[in-house]
Amino acid sequence: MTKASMAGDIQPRQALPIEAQEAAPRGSALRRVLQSGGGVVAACALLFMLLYFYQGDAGLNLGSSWLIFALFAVSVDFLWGYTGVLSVGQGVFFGLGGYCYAWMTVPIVFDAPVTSNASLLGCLAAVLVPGLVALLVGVLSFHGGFGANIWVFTLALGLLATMLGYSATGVFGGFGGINLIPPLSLTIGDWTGTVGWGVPVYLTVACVLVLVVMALRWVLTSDVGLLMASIRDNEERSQYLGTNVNLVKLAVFVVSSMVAGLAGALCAGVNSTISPDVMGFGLSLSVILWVMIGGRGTLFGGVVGCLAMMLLQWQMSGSLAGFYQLVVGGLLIVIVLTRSGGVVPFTVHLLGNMADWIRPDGRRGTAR
Amino acid sequence: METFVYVSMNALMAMSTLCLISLGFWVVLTQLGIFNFAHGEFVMLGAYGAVAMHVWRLDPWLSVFVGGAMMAILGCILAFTVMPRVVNRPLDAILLTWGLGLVLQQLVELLSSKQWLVKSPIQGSLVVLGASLPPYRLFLVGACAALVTAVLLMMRYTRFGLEMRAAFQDAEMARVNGINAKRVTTVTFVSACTLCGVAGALIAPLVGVYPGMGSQYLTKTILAVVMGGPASVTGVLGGAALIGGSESALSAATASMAASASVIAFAVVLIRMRPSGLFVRKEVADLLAPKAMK
Repeated sequence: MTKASMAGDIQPRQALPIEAQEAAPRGSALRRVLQSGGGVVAACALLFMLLYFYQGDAGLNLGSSWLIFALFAVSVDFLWGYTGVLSVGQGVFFGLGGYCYAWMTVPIVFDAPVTSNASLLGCLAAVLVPGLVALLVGVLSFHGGFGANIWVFTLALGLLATMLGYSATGVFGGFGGINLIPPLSLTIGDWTGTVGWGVPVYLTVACVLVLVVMALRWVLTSDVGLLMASIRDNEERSQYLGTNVNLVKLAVFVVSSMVAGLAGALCAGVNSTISPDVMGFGLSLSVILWVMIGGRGTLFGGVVGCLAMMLLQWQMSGSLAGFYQLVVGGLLIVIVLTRSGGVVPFTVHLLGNMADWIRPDGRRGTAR
Repeated sequence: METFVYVSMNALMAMSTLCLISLGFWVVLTQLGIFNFAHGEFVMLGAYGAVAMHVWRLDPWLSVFVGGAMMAILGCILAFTVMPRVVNRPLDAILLTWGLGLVLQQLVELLSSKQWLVKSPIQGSLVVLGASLPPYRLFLVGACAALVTAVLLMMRYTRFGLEMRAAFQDAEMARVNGINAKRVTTVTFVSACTLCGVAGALIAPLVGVYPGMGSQYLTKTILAVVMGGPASVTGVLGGAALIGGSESALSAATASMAASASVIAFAVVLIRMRPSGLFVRKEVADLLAPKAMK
């Protein structure tokens, strides 16, 4: 089935499917899942060393919030890179997840928030509530074959959420947002584990990231993953073949939003603050850019793109902060114009070419 | 009575400016088959034409020409460099124009990040039915109405308008019939940019001019165009009038934030119920809707 969809003659180049498919490692499903997990572990370890040696524990706190954004980027790549659905309001689900965590742990909306295991319940709510909202928006935009313009609905959602976020001060905390959110913790019986600072936070977030990437990779190696790729590559044809396109899109959208919500909850727990800012288009656009830079349809690309841009933003803070936005906009333009597939597919392509060069029979082929 | 005059005047103004702004957006949508996310920044740049006149103490009426000319030049540059690369690639175009808007906004931000209040060219006040209105608002309503009418007449009755509509409907068939569709597309894109610039310069005295001002116009325009129906100009103008008018009228009754939010929610429901557009018949929409909408 992959072969058939790859051989499709009217391949829209904008979806960049061929490069993306090259990036998928070959081998059995379990091996692919382990490989993708290993890649993320390597990236996390590299970042850990970099930040720990330069900045110590403070650097690790910074790094864990980067990994949270990387998790968010992975969720967007799952939706956009594998199913071809471009949502321009994913930040809403991230923010909503953060707020769910805050509402469960800080007495701002509910007078007496849950006391035992509030953090865990917060994370649970942060997965479920964005999932429900995504279900609603997804039904609105996909039901009856309306899917081509999901970005209109997500645009409206983003607008509504930011308006609500800034005006409903009792619920969202106004411009300052909700502060003093307790850190992530877990209570089992009498034992309570809290991750508040430095290495434990970094390790927790990295573990969540690795597990989520492996779970998503597992979905992608299953038949559902093939359906997703076929929708991305040629929606009409997969509909003719009997795929319930709208249902698959809806499911992927909901799952992606749930992961985004989880990332938001981690963000609130680690940074102990959440503001309506994150629901705006700034973050939604940034995450699209991270995925574009890293490479659509690779999962790992989202992590790479996010960490690279975060490092850049970190280096450009201060007097250069104004120019960072210029770089962001310029990169968007350049990537679209050059139709670049991103860093990860490019590297894989390069490695494939090198492998062809050193092939013993001397037969040189393209990486494809 | 006074309140009624105020409210209806504000609604009229919102309607006419949004119609003018949506027209430029719609032309780009139909001709290039893309949603121009840098549209709000185009309007913002036009408004900075008025700021320039204000700063250099020149005749404020010149701002319309300066804003228009500035955007015409930028439109020319874009029409010959980036825009042809994303024709009929809607998703890529959204990302590209979004990035473009970000760059334009940030460039202006680096030059001057403060909010400018521009003096309006017509001072004084006019008493209509017991309500004192600033005459510039009245002028603005007239100017927008005149511009929109002029564009419509041009599209309906001139040779170029005919070529434009032909290229809208079927660029390939237009080329077969000897129309230089590429040239038509370029010229219409530049004119649409100019229109944005003029609109920005016109509304500058009534709103604060700051680098991020474009985003509110962009989202309203997108909702108006999609809701009204991009297949025909009636749909676009109807959608713009409905969104602009209802938002302005509602904000007289409740907080402006609540008014905007309810208008957005209302628009989403309408888009969902009538995907082809509120003011466009389905048969027409099936034939003429831009590719980006299908």
